Amino acid sequence: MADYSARLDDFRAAGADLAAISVDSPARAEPMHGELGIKFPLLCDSRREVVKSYGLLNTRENGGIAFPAAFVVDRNRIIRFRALEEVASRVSVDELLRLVRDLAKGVEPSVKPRRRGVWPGIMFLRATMNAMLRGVRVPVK
Amino acid sequence: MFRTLAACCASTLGYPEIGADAIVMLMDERGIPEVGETAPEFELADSTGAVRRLSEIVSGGFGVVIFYRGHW
Repeated sequence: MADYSARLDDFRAAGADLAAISVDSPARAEPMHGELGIKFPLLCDSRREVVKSYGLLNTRENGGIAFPAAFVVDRNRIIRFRALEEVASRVSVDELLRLVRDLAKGVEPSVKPRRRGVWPGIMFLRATMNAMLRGVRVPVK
Repeated sequence: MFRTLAACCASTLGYPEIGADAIVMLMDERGIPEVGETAPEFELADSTGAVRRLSEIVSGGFGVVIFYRGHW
């Protein structure tokens, strides 16, 4: 998030504004806004309606949190790029910036959404490692 | 239904938690708006209390909307 904030001026110069969404309450999000110096809005979807409408609600964790994802949306609200990520940093900020600059110039974006064929494998590996290291936790309803 | 199936698959495979998430997400991907589709409009308060709408965020040309896990 701090990486995005550091490039905010570059995004704005390319005609793109930034916003981040989580299910955090304003009281939770504001410290991040202040302490990390995030200069773009952190939107608070405590009711989880927006996260749900984007199909990104991960109900298995803590009453439902967002799966990390990034969308580039044009002024007609058409989605021009979508990245569904295990961690938000998987598409780098620089790649996104390059993409937005391409789009702004009307050039076919050189950054393509990465196929997700690989990452479930990575997650399974990680899950196995976690299970071995920490044991298996039974989710509490 | 899918979720239960996925959870069963995942726990059978020995990945009760993250495994199920991954499978559920893959199955649910059709619920995530795709490139070329219209992004659902939203209106949310930011951490300072100011209300923001997607249509305003994109009005300058483009909007980058990031979903993050949050602090919890």
